Amino acid sequence: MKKYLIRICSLIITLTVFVSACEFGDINVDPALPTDVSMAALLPSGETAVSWVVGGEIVRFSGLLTQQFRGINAQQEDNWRYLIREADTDGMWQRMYHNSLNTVNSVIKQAEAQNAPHYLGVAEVLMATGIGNFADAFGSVPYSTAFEGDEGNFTPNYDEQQELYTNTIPQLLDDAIAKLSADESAGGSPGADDLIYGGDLDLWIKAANSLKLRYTFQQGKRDPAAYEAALALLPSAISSNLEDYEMLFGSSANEPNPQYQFTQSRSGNMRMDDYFVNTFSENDTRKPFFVDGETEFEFSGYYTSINSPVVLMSYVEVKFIEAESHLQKAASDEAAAKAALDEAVAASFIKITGSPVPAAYQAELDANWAAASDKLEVLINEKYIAMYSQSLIPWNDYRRTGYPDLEIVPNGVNAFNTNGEIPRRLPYPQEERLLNPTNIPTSTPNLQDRFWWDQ
Amino acid sequence: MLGLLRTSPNFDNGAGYLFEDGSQRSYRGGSIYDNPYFTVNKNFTTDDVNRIIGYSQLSYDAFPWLNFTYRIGVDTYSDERLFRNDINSSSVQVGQAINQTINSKDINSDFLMTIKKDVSESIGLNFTVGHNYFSKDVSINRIDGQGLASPGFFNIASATAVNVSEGVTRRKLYGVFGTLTLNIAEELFLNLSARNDWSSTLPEANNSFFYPAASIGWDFTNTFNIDNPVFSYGKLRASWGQVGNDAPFAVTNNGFSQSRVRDGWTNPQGVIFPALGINAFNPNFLLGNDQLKAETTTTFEVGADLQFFNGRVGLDVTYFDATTTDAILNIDIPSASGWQQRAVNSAELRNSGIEAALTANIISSGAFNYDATLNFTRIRNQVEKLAEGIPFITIDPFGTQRIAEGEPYGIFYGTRFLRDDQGRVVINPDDGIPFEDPNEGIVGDPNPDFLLGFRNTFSYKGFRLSFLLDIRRGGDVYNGTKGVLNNFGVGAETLDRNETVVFDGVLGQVQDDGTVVPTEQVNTMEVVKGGTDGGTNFYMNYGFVNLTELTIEDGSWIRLRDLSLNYDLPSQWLDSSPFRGVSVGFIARNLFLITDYTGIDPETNLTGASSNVQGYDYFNNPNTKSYGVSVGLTF
Repeated sequence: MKKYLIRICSLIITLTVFVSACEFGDINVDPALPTDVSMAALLPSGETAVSWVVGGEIVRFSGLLTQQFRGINAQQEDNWRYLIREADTDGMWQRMYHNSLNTVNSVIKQAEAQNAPHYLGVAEVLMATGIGNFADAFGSVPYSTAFEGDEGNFTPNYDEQQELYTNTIPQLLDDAIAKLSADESAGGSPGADDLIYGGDLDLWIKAANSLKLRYTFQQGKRDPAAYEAALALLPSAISSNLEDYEMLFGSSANEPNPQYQFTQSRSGNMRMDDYFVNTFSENDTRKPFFVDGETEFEFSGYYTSINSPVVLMSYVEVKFIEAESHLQKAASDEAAAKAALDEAVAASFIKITGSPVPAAYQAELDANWAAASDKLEVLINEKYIAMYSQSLIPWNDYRRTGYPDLEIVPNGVNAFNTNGEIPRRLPYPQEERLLNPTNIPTSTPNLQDRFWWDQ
Repeated sequence: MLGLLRTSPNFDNGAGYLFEDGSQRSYRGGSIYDNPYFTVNKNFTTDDVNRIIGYSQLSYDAFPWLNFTYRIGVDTYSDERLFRNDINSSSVQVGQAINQTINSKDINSDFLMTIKKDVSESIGLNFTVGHNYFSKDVSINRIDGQGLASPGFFNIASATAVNVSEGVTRRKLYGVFGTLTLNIAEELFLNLSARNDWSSTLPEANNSFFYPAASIGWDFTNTFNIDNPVFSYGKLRASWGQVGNDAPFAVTNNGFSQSRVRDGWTNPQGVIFPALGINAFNPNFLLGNDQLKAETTTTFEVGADLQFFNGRVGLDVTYFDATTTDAILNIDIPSASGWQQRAVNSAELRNSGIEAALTANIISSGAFNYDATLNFTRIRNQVEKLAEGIPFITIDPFGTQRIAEGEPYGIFYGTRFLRDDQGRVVINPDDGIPFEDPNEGIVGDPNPDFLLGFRNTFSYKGFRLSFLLDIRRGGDVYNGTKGVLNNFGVGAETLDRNETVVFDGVLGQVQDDGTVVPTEQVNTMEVVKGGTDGGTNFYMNYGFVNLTELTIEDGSWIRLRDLSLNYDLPSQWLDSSPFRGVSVGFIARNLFLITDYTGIDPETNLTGASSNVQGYDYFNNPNTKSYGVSVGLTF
């Protein structure tokens, strides 16, 4: 009996000692979440996610505020009449910073560690795309101390919009161009995992140069010298529709374009706005690619089919920048402006319809141009159609030039938009006011507050 | 419910849910919300659970005073869930079948050594030391198939796009513990215990945690020999104890998750990798925390158990005060940090309250008995502290419920009217409608003042009638349903839309920078509430779900929780049957509800009864009213 007792007691002691020294190994590691993933598995996710934010929520906000879309239900109706709450931007902020750019930043970190300049260059162009779009929507945004959560920084600073425009984005793009131009990339180069350009580094260099062009040109309202600077950047930019910086989605149910998916999941929240529909000339063969009947979405339209592209920067935009720069530079050159405008419009028709500009349309454009006292209005009216669903360019143009001459939506007065006019910015998301209160530049949402380039 | 309540009044859902071409007939043209008839007839969800619970035990009395026991228990289940959306359903137009299999296995083993001895004639001792091992293994396999071949054909093999996912949750815990119980002359009961646990869910450096407890009970009727027909029994008790808790699974390290690219408007659809001929990952939303330690709940409790009239009336009262320190919660972090959440020892939460139960055998006359029980609960909870740098923690998926320092748990936070420093609403001088405060704030508290349960049981011969009245006083409920329906103009409140009103408050003045400053001028502007004179519509002015402040309502209720009638067959009827007892019964639940709450039921909760969130009503279904019959057989 006593023997058993001793045995059992010693068993308890052994067990106790055993558990005291216990190590659980990797029981607490979730096997569904690998801890190490290659750049080739991160890049497609980063590209798709950046394209989804730009082609989804950013296109919707821009379209609603410039009356390309009309919100007829739910929050889209509120946004259309300028009621944009801070909570309305929480989602896109999370998707840009967490889903998109933190993935891109993971590629950057790995590319640096593994000496893969080609991956680094591609990731930097994607980073500049995301930060650039957000700077145009929000003004100052976090960048230089963002993505440091894993180093314990949970309160990222805001980079001033001016700093982003004049230093950060151009430097990021210059660095990207240098890295993309490297002869060798020991840690690997993107190939089939690059869903945008299939690993074509020359096209990535053109995309980088085109973004430099856009963000230089965009400063023109503030600094007219920007137009000359933009013209100097033209030669290295995207030079045909085939070189467009865009992401093509797929035809399977699990690879849809974001606008297509929105029209599927939320049809009845938006339709095409009357202003946009009525702005088309009857000779404009692009209209049926955008609009179905009077005011409905064209569900199999150019930007709204399941495998439609999300355009991040296009040849058409480059040509419009060229045209406007000639027009707005100190020594205005109307002839050069008109020539570039014609090329821009021609490229837009080819891109959307596959056919050239109808002669009647060209004649109409020529007549409008000749008759116009303000050529800029003709130019922006053309661009307004051509840039439909290309990120937030139509809203940028409205804020820069005041064109197209939109009528203010009635009942647009609210606590965040006290004069009822077209908003100049989006409110910072609620999560930033609540979680990063010491850094957020303003905690009182005011949609009429003009940021740096808009003054 | 969304599809039903949001249907516009001039659309009849009942006139058919399918068009001839097979597409759905609903007021939104087959998008966003299904016709409720479509939901019932075309979208199926089934759930099949097989569960086995069992244990075996070895017990050995080495001496009369010494016992060894080993017990091992297993709880294992498989849960097969099939979610189906037919072709042309609103959320997944192409049709969807999801097969999900959850396999769970819990093993719990205890080894106990118990010494039971009367130390002296009046002192009894019970000492236990033991070891505990617990392990949990859950695997979740899920196949998502989208794009069905033909309506009603839900075989996963017919889907054009198939995605598979595999998930795991697991946890191991070892514990050693000891308990000492002393019984002194059946008057004084003393209990001391201590336990140390080691858990796999905590970082290695912090995975051991210790927690002691002590309690004392005193039967003073025994001590003072009180034996009185009026006051028959009395016991006082007090205790202090701690309990340690480990973390959820896999929150201590970083990982990458398979990428799903979509947004809140397209969820659940979007680019779901593998897609576009490639697989892809992104950093997981949760940032690991390798500094996590166990949370501790310290509870102090005093109480009394009193009986009167030879036990016919009993009163059991307890006061408790429990404080949880280092509470482990997933807190939101700014997305710009790259991640969205992090598990942190983030809060000190305090719960204190009174629980009392009064039981009485009111009538006991031969065959007729009437028993009543009154249960009273009053709990006050308070967020004492949040970890440094954490302004608040959101606990619901919509951002309306928060925990914030110095506030009760789970306060409602949302949009509200702009007010001046005297609390007067500030009115827009342009349209006579109150301004919205550009900053959201606290607008309600879902915690009730008290709960009262009143059970009455009558029995007569073999019959037994029992019902429970359930009373809740206070506790706010977010009525998002009302907000949306008012915006649509179909809420009953909006019947006054053609009436002229003057909103109470003072006029505001818009400054050059767009901010609004209140003035001293009292508002006298008459406006038509619904804006039908061309003015601003009060019910639409604040957006789709309206101001949170306007949708917060008091959730007090009185409800008949259940009513049952049972009849035990007289035993003499059963003499020749194989049964020792047969009872038949009828039970009904939720027969009536009395409440001022204007929504469907203040008890519903969007995220379910067991979540942190409470009082969130957004197109929820009501509690079901149910009737049942029961037959009980004893062999």
